[in-house]
Amino acid sequence: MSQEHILKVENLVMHFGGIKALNDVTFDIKRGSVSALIGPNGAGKTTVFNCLTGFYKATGGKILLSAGGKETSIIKVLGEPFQFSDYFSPIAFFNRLKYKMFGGSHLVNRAGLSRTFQNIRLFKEMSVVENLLVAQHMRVNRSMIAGILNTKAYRKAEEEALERVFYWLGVVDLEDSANRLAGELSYGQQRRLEIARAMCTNPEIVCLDEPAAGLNPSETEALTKMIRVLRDEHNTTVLLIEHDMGMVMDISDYIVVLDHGEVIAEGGPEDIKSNPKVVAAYLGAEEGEEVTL
Amino acid sequence: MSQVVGINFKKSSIDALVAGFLALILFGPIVGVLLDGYEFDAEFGRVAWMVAVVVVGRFVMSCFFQTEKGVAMSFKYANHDEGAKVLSPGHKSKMVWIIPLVIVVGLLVPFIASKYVLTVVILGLIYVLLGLGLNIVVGLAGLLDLGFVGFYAIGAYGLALGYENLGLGFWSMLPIAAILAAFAGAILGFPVLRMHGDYLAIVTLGFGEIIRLILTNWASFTHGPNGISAPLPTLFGLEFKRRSKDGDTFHEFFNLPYDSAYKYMFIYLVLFAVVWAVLFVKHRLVKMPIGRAWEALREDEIACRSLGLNHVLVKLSAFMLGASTGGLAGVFFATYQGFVNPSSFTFFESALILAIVVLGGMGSTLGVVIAAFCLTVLPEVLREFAEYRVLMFGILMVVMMIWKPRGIVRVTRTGFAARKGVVK
Repeated sequence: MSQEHILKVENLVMHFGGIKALNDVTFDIKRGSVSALIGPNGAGKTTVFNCLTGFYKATGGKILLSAGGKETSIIKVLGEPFQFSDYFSPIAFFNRLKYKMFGGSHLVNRAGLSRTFQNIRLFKEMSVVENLLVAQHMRVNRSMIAGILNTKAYRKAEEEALERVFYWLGVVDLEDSANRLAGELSYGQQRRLEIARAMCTNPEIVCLDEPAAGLNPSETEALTKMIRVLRDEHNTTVLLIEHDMGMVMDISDYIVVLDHGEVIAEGGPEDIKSNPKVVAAYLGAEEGEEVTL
Repeated sequence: MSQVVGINFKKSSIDALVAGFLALILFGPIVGVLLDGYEFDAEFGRVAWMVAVVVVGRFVMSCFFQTEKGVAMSFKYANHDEGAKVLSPGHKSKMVWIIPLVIVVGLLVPFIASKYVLTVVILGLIYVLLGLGLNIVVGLAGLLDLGFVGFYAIGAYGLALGYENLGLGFWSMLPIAAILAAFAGAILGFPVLRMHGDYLAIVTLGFGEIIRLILTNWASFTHGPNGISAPLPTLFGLEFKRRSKDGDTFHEFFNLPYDSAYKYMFIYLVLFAVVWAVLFVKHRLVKMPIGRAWEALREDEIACRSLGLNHVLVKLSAFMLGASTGGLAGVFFATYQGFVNPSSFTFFESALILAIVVLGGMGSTLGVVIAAFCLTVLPEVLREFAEYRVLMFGILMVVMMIWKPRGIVRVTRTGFAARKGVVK
């Protein structure tokens, strides 16, 4: 088991009918890094994200997440079709049946990967605190009897959950809005709340889908600082899709560039900036032409 | 509002004429033509009378909305903020005293009310239970269920058939029926988990009808449309009948003259206790992780899955708990009627229960209780208008949807006091 790489994507292929959205995408994400996935519109960035987070079932390839002391195959927990060999091995058969019936993207989250969405998906009719409490569903006392009788252990678990809520509200600077409805918040606040909600599930890697979209420059700056806090103080690996190149170059340790469903370049910000393929993909320029990002 | 100078009578007159014309179109064919064999009589008098009421009413209304008071009123209703409201942390309702008051009044009801009033109140409480059950499924988890009456039927027939075939009485069937209904909820829930909104509504509608058709057609087991009798509850083995084959009867044991109201009193008291227990459980559930998960699922299922919530189990738990409450209501219905047959479990009942939830306010406990009483007790009070009951329903629905689209009682959410954040 590799401790160095938290996420390994090997030969990922995703077809929608006849359309090949992803062709043989391979990259690794180092533990404790901030990595970015960039590329022009329609390059397949969000498709990669949806495959990683279990919202799409990849057509082929492997995605291995090594978090929480074990290695999880993301495609397996989503439920795979039965193989011929399964009919001879009851254990393999039942495993596959289990994942087919009860598998899904929630298992990816439980394995230690959480995400945010490009178009914000908060629980709008619930308060900010409740949004973060829902995210801690797997960490609180879910016993129905304990909850109805309001036992001591239940109250303690709820209190701890609330403490975590207010910690994360502090990190994303939303303490003053704790008792407002999530739908009432401004756009920037909603973006920050969504990141806090993703962090409340205690992930080892968090995937942010265009976190800076629609933010003004000062908000983007605050977001950059926040992502650094996630990496430095919480040992969380961050993988993000972003179009704001200034922010990407500023924050990323490692960048993967996608175009037409293929990885065309990967490396540190400096390498990417000067990579002629990347420049050509972004600006449609002839190779060799002088363009700077 | 100083710019309001006076009433523009011309505008009001035009409004009134338009309304009168529309009323003429609407009422003309409906009340103006009376069939008499193969002939028909034109009843101009009735139409004229109704149209006149509409015209005058519209004129008065139009004038009123041009006065200062009327403008203020329409302004108030145009700006209603109906969304959920987050209470301040440590909020204590000023209405807490009402709970003990309701309990005391509720406990006195069987001893002061007449037998007829008592039966009406029992029916109201049964619908409170049904409303609370459906409120979990529709109001909290956001799964539109049009076949809720199926679980009600399972509870009612559970008591009747359990007594007939297994000799189980009211007290043993009360929990068993709840479990049976929950089990039926799981059976219904499992295949429909992938569906949302309209599709789910249609499948659940089908489920409700299947249950009713089975009850009607499986005559060898359920006695079909003839129905089947259900047992009365017993008080520590004492029966509420005039004579008992085995064991004592209530009135003999306490040396009282026989009165058929005793059984209703007893059913009422048991039902009253069960309703309070369900209210308490519901009150706790919405604050618990499971209740939060239901509401989160209603808001956004994809986000729920991304947070590690198993949407299958969350939906199933909502279906099962809602169904078990419906099953409880069914047991009380059967024992109160003493007899069940499939005609009590038509789609109209499902629609009525859904109306209770929608009128009361999705997810609001208090609203559902009020709406359940309104929709079951009002038709009894207005017995003279029994023919127009469904029409009244329709009008009530339309008016509610215009003036209070989010239900009678505004949904409130608990506020949490700020505390020091700690992360472990």
